[in-house]
Amino acid sequence: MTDDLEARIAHLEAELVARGRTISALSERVEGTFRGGASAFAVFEQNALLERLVAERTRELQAKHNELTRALDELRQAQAQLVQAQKLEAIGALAAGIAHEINTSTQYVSDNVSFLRRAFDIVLPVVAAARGAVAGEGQDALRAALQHPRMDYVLRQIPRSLEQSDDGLTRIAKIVGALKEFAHPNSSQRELLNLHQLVQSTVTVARGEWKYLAEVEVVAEPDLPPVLGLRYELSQVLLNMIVNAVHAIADRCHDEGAPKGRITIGIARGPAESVVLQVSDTGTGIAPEHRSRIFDPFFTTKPVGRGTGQGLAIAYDIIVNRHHGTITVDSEVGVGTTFSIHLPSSLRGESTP
Amino acid sequence: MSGQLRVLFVDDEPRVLEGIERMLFDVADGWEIHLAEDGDAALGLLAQQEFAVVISDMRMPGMDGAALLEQVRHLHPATVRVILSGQTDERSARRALRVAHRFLSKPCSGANIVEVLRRAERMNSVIASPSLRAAIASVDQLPTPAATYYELTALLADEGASIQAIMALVRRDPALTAKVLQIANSAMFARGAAATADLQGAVLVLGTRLLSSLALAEGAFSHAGRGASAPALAAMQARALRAAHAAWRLAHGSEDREAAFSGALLAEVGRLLLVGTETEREVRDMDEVHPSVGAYLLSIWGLPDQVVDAVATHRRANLIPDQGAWVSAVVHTCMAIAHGESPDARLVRCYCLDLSRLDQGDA
Repeated sequence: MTDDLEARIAHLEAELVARGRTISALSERVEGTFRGGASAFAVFEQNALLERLVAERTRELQAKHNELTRALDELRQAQAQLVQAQKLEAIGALAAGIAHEINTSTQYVSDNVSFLRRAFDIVLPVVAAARGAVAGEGQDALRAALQHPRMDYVLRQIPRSLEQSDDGLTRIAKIVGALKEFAHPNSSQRELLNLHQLVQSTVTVARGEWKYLAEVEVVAEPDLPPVLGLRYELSQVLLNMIVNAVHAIADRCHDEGAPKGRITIGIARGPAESVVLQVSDTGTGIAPEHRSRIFDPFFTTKPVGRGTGQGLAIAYDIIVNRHHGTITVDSEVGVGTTFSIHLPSSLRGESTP
Repeated sequence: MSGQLRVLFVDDEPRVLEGIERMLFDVADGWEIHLAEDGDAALGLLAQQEFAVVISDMRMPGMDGAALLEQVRHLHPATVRVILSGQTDERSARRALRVAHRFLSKPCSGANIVEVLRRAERMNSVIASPSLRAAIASVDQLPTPAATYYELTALLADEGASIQAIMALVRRDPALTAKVLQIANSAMFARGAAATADLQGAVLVLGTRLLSSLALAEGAFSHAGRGASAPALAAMQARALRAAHAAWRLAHGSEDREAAFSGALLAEVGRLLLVGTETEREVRDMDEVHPSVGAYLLSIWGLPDQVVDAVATHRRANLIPDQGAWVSAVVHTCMAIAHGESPDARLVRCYCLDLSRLDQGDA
């Protein structure tokens, strides 16, 4: 459908240009006729004719303009829908990984709790007997309680089991917290965003994808200015970049049998009060002949079933059109790829959205 | 009194392994718990000693759970194989179902894990005899029940499962669909009503527990189909249905009716799986061996203990006590009838089995 709209827009633009030329030609004729010194009546006649022509052309222009505006609106709507669908597609692909992380953590936390209940059944009697001993009841009960055959094992395992359960619960909370960036429906409210935190959340949510294939490092400068932007849209862009990086590394691992790859995400101050976000990977790299097309809608080098080719086109739209930023790519085949995103910080006056 | 059991847990998350080991710390003295963080380490341990059970995560880097169990099936056919999965996409789940005897989902309660291990421990004592061990190991691989049975069991365990979902599952397996319709239409259920080709009606009539047993039986028959002669297979199927039909009538009014039906239907599953194999030719007394083999398999496939016991004893009345084994008594009686033999008089008397029900029309 987008192809149609684009074709229509291109067509309308061409017609506008043609109309513009017609008007120029008519104006020149008017000039020419007037300078030619024709009779006053002849000139008057010409003028009347020309005025009529101009009025007609103006009406046509207006109609074409309206058509163009409508087509552009439709295009914008279609793109919004695609962004939403793409977001669900991206999250959907991650759902299995996220569920796995949560279920795994829940497994060992539950097992540890089960152990701890029985462990304390062995240890608490010691405390009770100790109290008794201190109260003068003798030490026999205490000695007996201490002699439980699994006492040593239990004493060693209690602290480890509590520590690991703590880790597990922290992990679960982290993933659930990170998901909030992605769970909210499309909101067009701009907010002051902490890009470092946004990146961390996205990395957490995507962990199932990169865990076995790459090391991920986030390097952020301290005291970064906040960015005024759309939280869910920017998370979407980051998620796309990370998943693309993982796929590129996976392809390279598959081709070369290489070990884990590396994804580095850098956040730094850029020129003119901007914030620069860079996502680098050690994947296959983008072939020079493809580089100019990667932001085109539906362009993809991936096999069928692996994404719709919308990710970078949508990223481009979000960064450039909706955040007035820039997005560029640097890549070398066999070495890797780096995407650089410049976002104006909120400290610079924000122009109209 | 605990028996000996050597178990291997495999998971790439060391905290999961430690958690499970701790959880089992006081469950059984004779149990040896071993841990491995990847497939290669697991195979290394399995090569050194005999393990009764392997329980593996699915998602692991390098060799995943299904790939590991595929190798275990080949190298150590007598070891029970279980998947304990964190979350698996559908394609991986199918691969896992083909090689695992049980499929458990995380988070899995300690009680469930212990249940799997206890069954294995119990069955270990059943197959203490070398001839039996040889019998089981000789089956090409310990067969896994039809994927449909697993999925059906999982679906039925989910109380929210809709009848539509169940039907969709049954429909995917044409042999099972045919069997469901056949039984629902048989004199056992039809009560003279018009024959139904309506799968939904059939499923409702049979109920969910019978459905699982039918799925399992179908799976076992299709597996055996590879090695058996057609007449032998047909004879076994006819016997199974006749016995199941009789059990249904005899057990009328009892809450264990479905267990009795299942026990009768699946009583000869051990014979089914040995048919056409080397063991069948070598074993002098197939009748002695196959009930234990069948019981072993049904146990590791998670069928209720009553059904497992009934299958184990269905040709040996002297193994069935005078009380407390009602399902076994019914199954023994019905299998005898299916073989054209007289039922055991002691069992009929001790369990007050009303044989006149078998002569009646529709119960």
